[in-house]
Amino acid sequence: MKKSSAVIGCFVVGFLLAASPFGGQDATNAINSYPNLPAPIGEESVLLTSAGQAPENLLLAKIAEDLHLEGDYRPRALASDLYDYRTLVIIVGSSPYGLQYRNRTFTEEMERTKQLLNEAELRGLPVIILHVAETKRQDKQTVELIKATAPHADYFLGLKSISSSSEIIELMDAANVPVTLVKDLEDLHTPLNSAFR
Amino acid sequence: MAEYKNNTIPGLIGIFLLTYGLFFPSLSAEWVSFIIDRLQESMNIMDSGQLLIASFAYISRNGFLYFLIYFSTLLIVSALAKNTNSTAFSLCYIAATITAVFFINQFHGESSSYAPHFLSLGLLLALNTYITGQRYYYLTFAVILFFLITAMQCLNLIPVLSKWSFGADDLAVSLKTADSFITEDQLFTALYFVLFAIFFLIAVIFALLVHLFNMQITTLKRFQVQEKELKETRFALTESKVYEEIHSLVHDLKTPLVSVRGLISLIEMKYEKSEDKKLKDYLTRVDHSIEKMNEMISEILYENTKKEIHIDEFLRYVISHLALDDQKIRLEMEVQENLPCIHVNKIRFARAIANLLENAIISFEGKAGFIQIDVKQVNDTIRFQIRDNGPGIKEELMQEIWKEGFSTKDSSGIGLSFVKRVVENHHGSIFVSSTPGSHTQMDIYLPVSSGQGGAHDDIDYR
Repeated sequence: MKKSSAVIGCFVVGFLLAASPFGGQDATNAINSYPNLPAPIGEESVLLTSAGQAPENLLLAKIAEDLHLEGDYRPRALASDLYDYRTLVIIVGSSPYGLQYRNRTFTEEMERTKQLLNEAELRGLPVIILHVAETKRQDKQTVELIKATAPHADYFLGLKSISSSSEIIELMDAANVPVTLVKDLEDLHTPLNSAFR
Repeated sequence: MAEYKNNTIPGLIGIFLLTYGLFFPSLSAEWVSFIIDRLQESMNIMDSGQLLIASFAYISRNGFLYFLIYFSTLLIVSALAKNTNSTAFSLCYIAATITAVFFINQFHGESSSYAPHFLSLGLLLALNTYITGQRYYYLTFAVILFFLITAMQCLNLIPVLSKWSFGADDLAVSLKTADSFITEDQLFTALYFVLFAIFFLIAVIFALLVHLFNMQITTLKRFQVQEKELKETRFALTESKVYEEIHSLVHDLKTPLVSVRGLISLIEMKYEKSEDKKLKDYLTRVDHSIEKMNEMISEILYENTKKEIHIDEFLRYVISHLALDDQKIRLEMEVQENLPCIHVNKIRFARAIANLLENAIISFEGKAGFIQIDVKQVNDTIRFQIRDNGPGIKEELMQEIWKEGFSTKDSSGIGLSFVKRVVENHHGSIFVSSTPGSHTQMDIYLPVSSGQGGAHDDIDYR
């Protein structure tokens, strides 16, 4: 065996693993779920919260601020906090370090999210779900959170890149949730604004 | 034992570093909090500066973590496999590192992607082939590893490479999403491509410099060896020429000797009937002297010319050649009674013993001391033991003293090698023992003469 064979082997395995995401079926053509902008779904004031405590979820608050939406970003909001709001917006994305940063476990986070959704249903509040970390954050826990929220959602907003993962789209499709996928994070402003005005 | 120690220490350090590395994600909670704080701050005030600080902290943390893993596995594997440039070493190193990364992912969910690790290992092992076989191997490897790991962590923050499984860990995803939101991927893409290129090039250039330096050192060493060999060859050539000259000179002595012997015979014949007894006695003595001289010349010319000789007579012959008059040295001699004769080339063997005695005398450098010569029969050998209380021989020189050309006294350095050659030519053996500052002892074991129980035959070339 040549001395360089280990190095070549490493490169081959590395490139195969790196290229493996390109081998999957492209769901973009299989699923046609890009509706036009919806008629207003929600009303102000809005409770913006995070499911999974991913640090980047804070950008939802920034978008809401840019849109001058009346409401609050409360990443750890409880079901009992919903009394003061007329729409629930949840940005989904589970982060182990984010949960550790907020001193909570995934089970607690899942429980809090379910309670929020149940309370919203009881109160008849519309629920909008966002997922903004493209394909980068589609781990098992995030998918679990999406599965938990999908049946309660009235609208799903995400990035086009997630269409390569058919699982999320299929979940929304099965729950008859209208889906809007945008190209960039900046483009989220328009559909989110449309959902309220 | 030294080898054992050399392998054990890096191995133990490796195990310690690996254990620390495996627990490092849990031990670095403060570091992670700092990153998340800066990240959220950057999104709050839409400040790319805060995002940069967060990303630098991320690269430092991950760089440190994977430096620990990659370096500790190197120490452990190199402690087990001595040759760090073999295929077996490379495969073991890849397996050990990937296993450690797997455990980190299982325990802490650090990174779900193995592709960057395989590529890092490939690059690292490729560079490793240029840095083997030198004194500061671990230090050199650590420097290259540092730059390479930092370069690979830069790739983790380039958004376009996310599709290629780079930067799939929790913090990298958050940082890249924030960058996408604040700068539309412009900041990280430009900055980290440049930083990757810089760190990667430094790693490559450093490895090449080390390689060139090693080549220079190797060439220098080779030159030194060649120079030494050349010196030895020149010396051997000179020595050979000197011997050749002496040989032919001694050989030429035989011609006038034969003439003298012939003339003596003529004189004997001429005065055969003479009554001059004194003249006859002189002629007989001259003839005996010529005969003796002839024998001596033969012994000098032919190594294998040997004859029986009494040990007492032999030692008297040796001592008569020593210059002890101006020395403060006491020479003690003890010879066992009724020893058998020895079968030797008298001239050469006497020169060998005289060499040992002269070495002992020189070592005193004019100071007082004693030299003991003890001769006795040990089993079927005669042992010549020469012991002095001189300065002794340093332990590191014990193997060197037999080499031709070795000397600590600016002499030719052929004395002891000559002694050894002569002893071996007599089917004997020589041993030396010495304690610096105490004594030196030379033991020569010579088989007893074949006529008296010895077991060797010599060819006489006369």
